Amino acid sequence: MGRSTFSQASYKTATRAFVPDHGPATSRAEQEARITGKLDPLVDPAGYGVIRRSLPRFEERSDGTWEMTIGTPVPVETRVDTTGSMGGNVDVAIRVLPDAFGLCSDVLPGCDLQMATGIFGDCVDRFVLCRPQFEMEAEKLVKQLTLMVPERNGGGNGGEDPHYGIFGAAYLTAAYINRIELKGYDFTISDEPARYQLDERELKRIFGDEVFEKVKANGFTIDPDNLPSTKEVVQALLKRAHAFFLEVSGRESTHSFWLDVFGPERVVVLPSTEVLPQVQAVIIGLTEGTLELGQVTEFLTANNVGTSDAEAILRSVSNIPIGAQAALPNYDRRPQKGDVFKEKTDLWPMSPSEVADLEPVAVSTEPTDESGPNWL
Amino acid sequence: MTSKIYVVTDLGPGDGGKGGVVHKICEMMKAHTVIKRGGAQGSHGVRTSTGEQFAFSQWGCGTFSGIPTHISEQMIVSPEGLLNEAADLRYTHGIHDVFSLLTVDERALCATPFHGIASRLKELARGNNPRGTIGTGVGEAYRSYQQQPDLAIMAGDLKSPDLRDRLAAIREQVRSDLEIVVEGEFLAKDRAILSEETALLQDDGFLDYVVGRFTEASKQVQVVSYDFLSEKILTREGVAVVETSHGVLTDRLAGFHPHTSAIRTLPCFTHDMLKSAGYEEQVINIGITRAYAIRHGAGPMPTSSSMMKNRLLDGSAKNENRYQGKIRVGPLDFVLLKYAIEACGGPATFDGLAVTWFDQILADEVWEMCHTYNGADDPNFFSPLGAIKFDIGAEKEQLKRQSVLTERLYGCSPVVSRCPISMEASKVDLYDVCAETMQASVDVPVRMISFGPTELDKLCK
Repeated sequence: MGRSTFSQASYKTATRAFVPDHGPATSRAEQEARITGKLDPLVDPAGYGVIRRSLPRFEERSDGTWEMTIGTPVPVETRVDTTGSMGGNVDVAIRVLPDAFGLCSDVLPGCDLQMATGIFGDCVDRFVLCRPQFEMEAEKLVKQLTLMVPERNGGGNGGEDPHYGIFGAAYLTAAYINRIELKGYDFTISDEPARYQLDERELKRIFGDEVFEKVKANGFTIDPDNLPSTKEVVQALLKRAHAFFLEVSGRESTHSFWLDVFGPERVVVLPSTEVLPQVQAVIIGLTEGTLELGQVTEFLTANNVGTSDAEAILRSVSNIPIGAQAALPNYDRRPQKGDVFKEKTDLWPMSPSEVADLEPVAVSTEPTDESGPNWL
Repeated sequence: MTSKIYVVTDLGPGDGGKGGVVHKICEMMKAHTVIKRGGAQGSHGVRTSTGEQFAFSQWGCGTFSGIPTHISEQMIVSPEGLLNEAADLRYTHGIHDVFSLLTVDERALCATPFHGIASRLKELARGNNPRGTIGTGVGEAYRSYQQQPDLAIMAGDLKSPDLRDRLAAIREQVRSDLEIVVEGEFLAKDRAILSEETALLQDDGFLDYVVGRFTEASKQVQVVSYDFLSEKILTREGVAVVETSHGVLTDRLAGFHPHTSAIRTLPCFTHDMLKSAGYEEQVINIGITRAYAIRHGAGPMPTSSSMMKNRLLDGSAKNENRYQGKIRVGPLDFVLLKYAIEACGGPATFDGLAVTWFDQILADEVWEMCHTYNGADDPNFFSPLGAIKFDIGAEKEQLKRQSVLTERLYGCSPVVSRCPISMEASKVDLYDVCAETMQASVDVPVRMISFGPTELDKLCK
């Protein structure tokens, strides 16, 4: 249910309401976390039932069927490194949010873009991961970003721990788009390598003691005594998302680690987090087939990316699986705004002939109990 | 004009299956509104044939069907709970505009987190002699309102510029109320909670948090004027449903004191509300009972059976907790059921019964029931045939009487009879068995039997 979505006006209202005039946007949440030792449940990976959901939005019609209000929901999950020099990334994410939503919407025409931008740190931190809910309204998106608790200092141990966030994306996400055998998008942004192995204790610390039950409830089975490696988690993620690593640093150790984990076609250069929206939109557009490689440079420069950065990005995205979403069998069957579903939980809308056959609701001036259903 | 209103009343101590029954009626009758009464602490479970599942507290059980909820003046609302429930519905069920499905009468009393703390600490102070509470502070808010009405926050006050002062005053009232309580003896296992909760009452940061949440609620909730029910809801064509929290056996005066709610749960209060709103059309009264007895928390339950608990409770989604206490089940207690019906005005009050969870009886292959107790021999409280006498008087005397009745019930033991149930029997046959038994025992026709969790599992006649 619902049809509201991102707008500039609501973004401005939200930033006035949630972002303090001075200091980091997350300062209130950081102070709160120092007192309580907890994250707000909206961004706590263990909050709201652990599983993050991306669901279609409907409104009920007078005949009891359900009309899709926006289009097929496309979840875009992003995890941003906020350790060390990347500590200001939440503020950047808030600043560029209108671009992120606008540009990604442009390359996902007719879809219901649902974004979840979180952050990750290091296992030595109190909070390794902040994982928000999928949202499409500026107020909710801004609010969630301000609830993040970045640790900023980095573990100083030669790597960060984004693989726990990737684990959540792979096994603890329930998205309608996967039910119709299409994929959402997933981006990990960092300037550091990660680790090849996950730790059961960390999984429980981050997602709660019932993490494996939740994974099972979401349709996967994981043996706590034989956890998948980071590479295997990425492979699991690729079954439900077009996933990419966006590399900020250009450092060899970082580059080689992520090449090994994601493969060369899924590691893309990101000149700076300021241009994250543009790079994400290019990747999504190329994957969806709504943007051609030949249009990338013009698209980027038209959206405030410098020429040399645009060229570097173009070189980097040339190798991604272009058209991968468009090549999936159900791409052209994606439900559209206005499609009618018999039940909200149905996979596919009713056919036009089925909708036409729906009996019109009688408008009667007689009392309903005489003309309508009757029980007692 | 609304032509018919279904008033759904739980004839037990709660947990009767109101959620599923209200959802069924909403679906079957295409209700235009669910009107809520009672308290925000209710948890009415709904499971739909399309796989959705949720325990509703303040939104009505027609929400999955897109049916709006109106929180009436007879509901104690929790603004904090509204935000939490809305977030749950948004993030677990994709209902993004759930506040558009809700209106709240400006006269609805608000419970605050400070009332919740008071409720929980008072329960902890009872040590091993619990009264049983959900601990959200609804009862405390009501009692506080009775003592100092000027301190109360109504839904219409949520946008008041002096909201912080009002919340601070409530906090002060709660602190003062708890002064003696917190000096008492507490169980060792409860001391950490005691210290956390009392710290919150001293913490101005927590007050700021509460103010922030109430302010947020004031922005989200459509608070409507007192005449919204009469002018906007009852003028709509079709059918409405009144969903009341709790059950008759936890009614403040008819229930078994002190194991009761502050809320009045009898259908006559719903009737009064509808009459005050000028409604003169048809009212259908549905009484709900499980096919066996259940009680979540302290209070008399003569048929309690630990053997049945192990067999039946699997899947009921009821969890034990420190405040509500243990869950007990037992053979269907017709003595209590008849008492509840009598408290509502007698069998003629009801147009029909909805008997829930009959599938568990079916799985058990035997329907155990109790028509009389051993030990029910105090003529002040029991008839010669063993029925509990219902009497209602002025509040103070009534509570004394109910308190003694509670003690008498603790001294009773059930005489249990067993009716074999064949797993091969058709639902129609089972319906007949159930209907005949219920009609003979309580003189109210059965009009709905639940053979499973979803609306498709409920057979109506």
